[in-house]
Amino acid sequence: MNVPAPQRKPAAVAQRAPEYATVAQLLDLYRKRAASPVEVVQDLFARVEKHESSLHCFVTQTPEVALARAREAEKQLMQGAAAGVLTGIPYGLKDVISTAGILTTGQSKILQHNIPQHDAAVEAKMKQAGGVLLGKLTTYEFAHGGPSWDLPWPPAMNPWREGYLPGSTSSGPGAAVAAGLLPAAIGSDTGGSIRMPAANCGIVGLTPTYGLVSRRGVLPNTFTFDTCGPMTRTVEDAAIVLGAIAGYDDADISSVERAPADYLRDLAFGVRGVRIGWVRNWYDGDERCHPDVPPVVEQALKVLADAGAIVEEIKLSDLLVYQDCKTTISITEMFSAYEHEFRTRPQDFGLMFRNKVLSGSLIRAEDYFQALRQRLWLARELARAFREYDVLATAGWMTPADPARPTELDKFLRPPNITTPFNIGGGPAMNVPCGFSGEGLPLSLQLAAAHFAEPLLFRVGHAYQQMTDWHTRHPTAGMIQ
Amino acid sequence: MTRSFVQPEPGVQTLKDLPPSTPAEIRRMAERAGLHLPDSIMSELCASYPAFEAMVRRLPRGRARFDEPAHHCAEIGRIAALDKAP
Repeated sequence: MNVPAPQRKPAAVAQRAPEYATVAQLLDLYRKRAASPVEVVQDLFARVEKHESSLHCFVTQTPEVALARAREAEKQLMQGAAAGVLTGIPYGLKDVISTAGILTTGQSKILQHNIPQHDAAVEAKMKQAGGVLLGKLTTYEFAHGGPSWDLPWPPAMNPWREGYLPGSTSSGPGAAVAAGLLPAAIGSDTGGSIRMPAANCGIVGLTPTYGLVSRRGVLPNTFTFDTCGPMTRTVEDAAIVLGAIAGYDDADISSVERAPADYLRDLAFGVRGVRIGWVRNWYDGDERCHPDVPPVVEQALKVLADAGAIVEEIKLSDLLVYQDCKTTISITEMFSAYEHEFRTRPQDFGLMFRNKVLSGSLIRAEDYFQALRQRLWLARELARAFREYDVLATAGWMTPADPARPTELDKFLRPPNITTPFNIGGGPAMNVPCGFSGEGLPLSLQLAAAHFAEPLLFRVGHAYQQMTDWHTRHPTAGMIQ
Repeated sequence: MTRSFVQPEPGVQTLKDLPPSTPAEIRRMAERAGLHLPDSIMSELCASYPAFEAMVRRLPRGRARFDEPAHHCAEIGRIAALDKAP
């Protein structure tokens, strides 16, 4: 009896990955040898070339690095020897994250020619996991002052509408992931800088627990609050990327020694019985809140309640109380971090950064100390809420994306951020797209949990994305067709 | 019914009733902080500082003497121990 020879899988890849393929989809395609990391990278750079002139997502593109890493990934995949959890996955880094031999500017004239000798810990982990760096992404100056038109690079723009901003300092990562230029990026968050652009760009942004992801080699904003985390199009992708970058680092004073968690383990558990405290007083009734936000957030919580979550409204201190505490600490620390340059070449900072940080030179030690006391008071308020509720939920941002106003540079002190309280608490918080404004701009639901409860946060966020399709919609109005 | 987690702080005061600093006072404070800024940047500081001053003055004060702030003592101890390691 003749036995037909087994059909060999094709050595070369037969099809291309679809546009907007997620991290999970790409990993699956690679496993099946149905897509090639090299071709994925080439396709993404073609997309970058088409859209970069209008979106300004990149400070530096790294095609040589990307193709070298993609070829190595492809080799490993073909040999069945891919060890990294992100083998062949393209990503970008906010340009405050140091990369050895690659320009790292902080979007500032101060570091316009800065080429670090060492990788930041988070980049070292992405590399070790097999990720493929496509480039360094636009930020506000030193992850704080912006959007600015007086820096060596223009601010990123929102792919959802021409002439609109992506929001806050991880703006390049937000715009690039939303526009399908990358499936994942690493941002940094001190008061909402991952979550705000996630909200305004219709993607997922996770601020991990303070100390879970090393900040070694990340240009400082505020040591007390700085974190780095994933920005992706799905919650599942955020869980995959966090798994690659989380972990103890002896060289980061904030790093917490803990056994690594499996962030994908609980994804499919659903929300039945999960207790959600709905912090409505932070946005509903606030005159700055866009009228489309409260009903969209309420509808998102109804989806979770219908799936078995227990949703109850709770009240926490006003946002201004959190913001006063955070900003006092932030501007003091930021001035200290950049004091030498403020004393020797203040004109080389952008106007926005100077306006927001120079006043830090006049904060007294007593004021800083009182703010640190207040921080503990507010963190305890959040801890009391997390003793009663598994997850807190509120709006991801109070408004859709703002239009760009290049002549409006003097916002000395912005209105309170709805994201900042969870930086005060130090626990994880994640924004998930939950609808659109009447103008067609994305809106977002913010979920937060107790320290190191990222698996629970992913579980709730993933359940929500399984029941809705907001994360599957992609921008057109702000992109070249 | 909405459950509140906000707790009152007895005895806490603020400085928000103090008069705002004048531009001349802000210039003097900056100079005493050792900042020698070009005139245009000093003017920026005089324009931006009042908002931050008001913010700082809203912070609660007068907390109990033993009310310790958030800090990183545990981590500092750990790092110091590492520094001593051979």
